[in-house]
Amino acid sequence: MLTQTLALFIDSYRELAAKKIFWIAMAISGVLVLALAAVGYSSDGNLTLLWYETSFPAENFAPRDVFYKYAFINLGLGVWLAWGASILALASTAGVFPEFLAGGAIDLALSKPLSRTRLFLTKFAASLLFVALQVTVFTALCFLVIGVRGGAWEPALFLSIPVVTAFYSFLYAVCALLGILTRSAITALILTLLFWFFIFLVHGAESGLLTWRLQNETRVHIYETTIEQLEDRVESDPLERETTRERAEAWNDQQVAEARLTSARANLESARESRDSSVTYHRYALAVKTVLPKTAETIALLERWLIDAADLPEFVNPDPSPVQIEMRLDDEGEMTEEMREAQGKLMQAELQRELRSRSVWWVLGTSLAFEAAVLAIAAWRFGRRDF
Amino acid sequence: MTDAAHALTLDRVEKTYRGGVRALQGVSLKVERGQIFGLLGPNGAGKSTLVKILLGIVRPSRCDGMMLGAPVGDKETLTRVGYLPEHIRFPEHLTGEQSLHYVGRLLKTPRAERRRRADALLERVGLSEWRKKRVGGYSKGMKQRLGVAQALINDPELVFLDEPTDGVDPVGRRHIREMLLQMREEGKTVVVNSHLLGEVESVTDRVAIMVGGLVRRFGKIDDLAAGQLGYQLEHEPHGEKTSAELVSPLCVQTDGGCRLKTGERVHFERGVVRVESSDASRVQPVLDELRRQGVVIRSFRYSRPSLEDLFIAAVEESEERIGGERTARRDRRRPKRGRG
Repeated sequence: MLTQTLALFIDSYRELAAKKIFWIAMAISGVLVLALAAVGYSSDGNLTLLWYETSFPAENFAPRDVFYKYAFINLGLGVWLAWGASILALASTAGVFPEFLAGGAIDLALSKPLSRTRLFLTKFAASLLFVALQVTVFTALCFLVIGVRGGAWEPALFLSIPVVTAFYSFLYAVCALLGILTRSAITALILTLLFWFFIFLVHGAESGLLTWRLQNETRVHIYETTIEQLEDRVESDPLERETTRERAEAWNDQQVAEARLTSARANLESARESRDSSVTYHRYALAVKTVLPKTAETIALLERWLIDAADLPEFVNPDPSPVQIEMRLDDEGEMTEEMREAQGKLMQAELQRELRSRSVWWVLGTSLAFEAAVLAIAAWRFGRRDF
Repeated sequence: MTDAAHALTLDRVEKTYRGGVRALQGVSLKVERGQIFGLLGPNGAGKSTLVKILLGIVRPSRCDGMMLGAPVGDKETLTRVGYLPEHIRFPEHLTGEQSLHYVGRLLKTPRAERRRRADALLERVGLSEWRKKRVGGYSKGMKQRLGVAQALINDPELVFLDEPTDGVDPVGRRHIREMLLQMREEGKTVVVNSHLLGEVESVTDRVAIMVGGLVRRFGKIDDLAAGQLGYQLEHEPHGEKTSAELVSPLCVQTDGGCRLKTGERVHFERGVVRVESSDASRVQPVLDELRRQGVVIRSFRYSRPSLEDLFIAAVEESEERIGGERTARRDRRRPKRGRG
């Protein structure tokens, strides 16, 4: 049994090794690792490029080890392997099943003593070698760079091998199914890329709706706080003031507060309606996203595992606490500049908290469930078809 | 149903593809062990479908049968079977040697045996010098020879070869024919599926001629030709007399046509007299009679229908039968006139 599995894996490796695109991708990985190694921190904490020291205070931006890990995850994995290398891998392996199903080739494989389901699944797994090998080499090199240059020997980096391979497998399952159904490499590739784009749109829509929901929740909170404070002002008794002038000012303030309370209540009502709508729409988007593979979140898992939220750069995960947030509108009924700044940071922090709170089961489990369903359909079709 | 003498016994194998195309309409046949068996038929006869069913490539609609003592469809049996598909396509990134090992691994052939047999087979098909070259650079004939080699990598008991000489030059074809005979000497059972009837005829022990998803002829070539063996005599025209009239003094008319007084059937065509007999002495009176009448004899030879003759006859007979059945069906459907 192992001999047959090995045969299919060896064949897949040889197929990869025979393709120029595989070695081109490997070369790009090498260049990126060299680029990462070329960036460093001087003793003053400034950014250095090779031997040239810049005036950019990188140490203030992120600690040395976090910088390397952040660059590795977000640029190396998030951009290069999860986008560039994956597109190259898809282009390279989209033809695996259509070619495998061609007359004269499929006959050779099916006439052997192994079940069709096993043959299909082994061939599928072997086709993931492209990305698995790319990410293994890239991670191993980055592990050395981060260790030597960043001073952090982080074995957890190797988690990226199963994570990125899983990410690619979500897409390749769709590609394999389409390859079996259409028997055309180019059709399978184009439709898979369109599906990937669709996932991207759903992800974008869900993120946008989440931001909208958080904004609305913050607005509701601000209006509620403002109304509470206005009600206190309205309920205060001007006669309790000592001087006539104070009483007159208090009375005036009471009149202003009363006038603003009405509009604030109307605004609160509108904000609540808006919040409720955003919650509903976001729920729908999340439901659609739940059944689809979560490519972006899968890659983001690495950041969650490798970098503590507190260590993330300020622009990614700001700390809103230093800003004293006065949760009420000014006398004109507008947000103050401080509040706007605070709200922005609060939103970003809240978004980060929300995204990081999503369970691994939700991210990986539902994506793997999607993949399993697609593979089951593909295996069924492969198993029932006459060749 | 199974017995030690047969490598393959099939009973009413049927296959209807989606869309209603009936590729096999109940094929039954037996293939004895240690024989070279020719599976013949025109395009669309169902030969490849039958072989693919036996190898699990196509799912049958109905299949009762045994292959090497196990029910057809048993995966483990395939470790003892070799197969050369029509238009074989090897992964082009593999070398000839790697291709044999790839197939050997899929067949679970032990490594040592695989190595030994790969070397020997590459030598046998004349590809030793090309063993390290990628298959992508092979000619069609070389790929076909490599295909024959891979079909033997597991030292199979039963080998299916689908058009083994397709794309192979005359020298290569003769080489493959010799290999077929060698396989038989080694005790293997070989099922050859081919259009090249002359080649099949020279090596097969038995044949099955399939037409329209059914076996129309089955047996040894000599048995299939029985009744068509005999001596053929060709003569010059002799006045107004036909061949039958010239030979009539020796003949008696029976229900089955004309027979010699010694019992042999005689057939006539324009200028040709054919006597169904393998005994030359029985034909001498016909020669004597013609010579007595001064008829000029052009040739006299023992004739045996070729496999091609049998094949064409089977196809034509089948087409006539199908045509007849269609006409009958059409007539049944046509409303009868003149009633009521």
